[in-house]
Amino acid sequence: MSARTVDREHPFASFARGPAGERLHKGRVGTFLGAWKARAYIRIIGSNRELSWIFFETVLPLLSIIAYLYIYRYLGAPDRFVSFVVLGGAMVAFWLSVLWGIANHIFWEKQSGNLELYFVAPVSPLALMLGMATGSLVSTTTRASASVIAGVLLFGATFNGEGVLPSLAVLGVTLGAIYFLGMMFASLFLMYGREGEHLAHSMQEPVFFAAGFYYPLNTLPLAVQVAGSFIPLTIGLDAMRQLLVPGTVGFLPLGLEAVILVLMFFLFAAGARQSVRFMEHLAKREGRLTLRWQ
Amino acid sequence: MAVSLHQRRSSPSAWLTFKSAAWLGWQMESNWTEPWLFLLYSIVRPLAGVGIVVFMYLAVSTAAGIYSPDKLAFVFVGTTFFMFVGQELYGISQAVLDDREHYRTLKYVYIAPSSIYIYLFARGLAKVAETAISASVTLVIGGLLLHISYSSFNPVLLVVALVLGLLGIATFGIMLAGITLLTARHGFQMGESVAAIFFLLGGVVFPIHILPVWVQDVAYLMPVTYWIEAMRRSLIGDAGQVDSTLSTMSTPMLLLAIVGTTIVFFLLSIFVFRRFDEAARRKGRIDITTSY
Repeated sequence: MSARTVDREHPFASFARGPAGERLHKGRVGTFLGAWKARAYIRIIGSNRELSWIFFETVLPLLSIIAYLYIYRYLGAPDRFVSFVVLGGAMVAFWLSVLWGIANHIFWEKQSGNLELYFVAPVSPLALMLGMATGSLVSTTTRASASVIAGVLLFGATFNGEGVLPSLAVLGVTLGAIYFLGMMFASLFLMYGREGEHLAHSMQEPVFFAAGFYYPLNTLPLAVQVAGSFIPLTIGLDAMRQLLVPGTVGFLPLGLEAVILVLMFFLFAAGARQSVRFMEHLAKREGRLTLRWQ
Repeated sequence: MAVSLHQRRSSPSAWLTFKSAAWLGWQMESNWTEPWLFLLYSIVRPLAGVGIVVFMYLAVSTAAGIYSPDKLAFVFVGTTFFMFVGQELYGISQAVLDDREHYRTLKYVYIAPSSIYIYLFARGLAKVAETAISASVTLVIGGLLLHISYSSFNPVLLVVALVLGLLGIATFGIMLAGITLLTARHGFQMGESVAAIFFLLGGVVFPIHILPVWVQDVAYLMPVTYWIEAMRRSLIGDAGQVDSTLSTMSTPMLLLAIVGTTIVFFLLSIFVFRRFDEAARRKGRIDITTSY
């Protein structure tokens, strides 16, 4: 019998058992990690199974980046602006993933009836959220990498080689912070239903604008720079540009930006934990978060 | 008066379908919040989109000391009118996803005795109405803050070109809606993604002659290319336009090009939508809900 064949009489026969044939139960940590891994698996497999999605998420966003590169060419910009756009364009993928794959996704889960299963399952909702974030991170990194590779190969974007490793560290902390921020948004979007969906829309272009995705942050008025810096992407992108694009004048000194990013990481992690608990509380005590078509 | 069986079962007029769907679309777009918040939402997001391009111009001006008001006007007006493209494409294709996944009413729309083609087209018009508000505000702000000069303002050309262009864009929206019938829910970004093709090729933010020659040939096949040029011409004349083909076309020729390309894509959209529609019916996708 092949390992994949299911014994119809005993469908759970292939499950791991204890020495006396009893069901094995994982501890709290094991259950948490298992749920995390399972949800990440679904996200990775699911997002790559839909071929149309891969095309629309990988190939077509490149066209926007190319368009922005051509604008700079039309305006007669110096070469380093190519690197600015390529880096910013790659970060767009992550921000959209946070907004739609994490923050607004819980609202979708409610609409499709999965949310109630999340809350009755004997696992931490935080583990499920982390799994979703991890899965998104893996899928989106692939798409963002495609943007950077295309920018380098097709448009000659150049980066400072010495800055690659430190910038990857900055990227890691930044992504951690924004995905935790996405989890915080999730409970907010869930409570506001349709308003949340529009809120997600309204956090696209305004964030691209205030975070300086396509131009140096210091081009913006100071008030906008300060407002934008509440989003980890703004600080993270500015730090990465300082590391990777020679001649970049940063919004803040690099060391200070690194410290702020680490603080944001822990702040938003704590915020995500609290907001997921709050969401669970509303779902279980008041029972209103699992109502559909609100 | 006796009413025959045929008359009682006849479909509602196209106008009734159009009117009802457009009103439904508008309600869905606007009734999720207070009117003032809806207005703010309608203005802030597109304004930020235009702001990106304006600050790109300012970044270059600061870095390279290049100041060209004509180029700023070219980029600004092109980006402002481009809002219609993205929103109309999104509005029409999103109607399929909203009705199928969220409200789960697509199956009822399908069995209703009305044209799904007209229904989807009218649903997209709600986004157009919303965009008209944002584009108007953006143009006013551009005049006041960026000192964009609308010295060539031609209201007749503006209205005629706007209507023709919106019809042309709708044909692409219908094609996308057809494709959406077969894609999972996360195809919601498809409209915005396809709009990126027009953003790149349509001479929206830079003259087409900058593109590789073979790409220029593709650009001249699209109604959006002529539409953006006509809209720009109705406000700022030929400021910043250095593309030899478009700048030498007379305005009537430009309008004729919009009409010609729109007819071609209208016929194509009927063909494409029917093919995807048939496939969706055959595969049972009309009332599917998807997740991941």
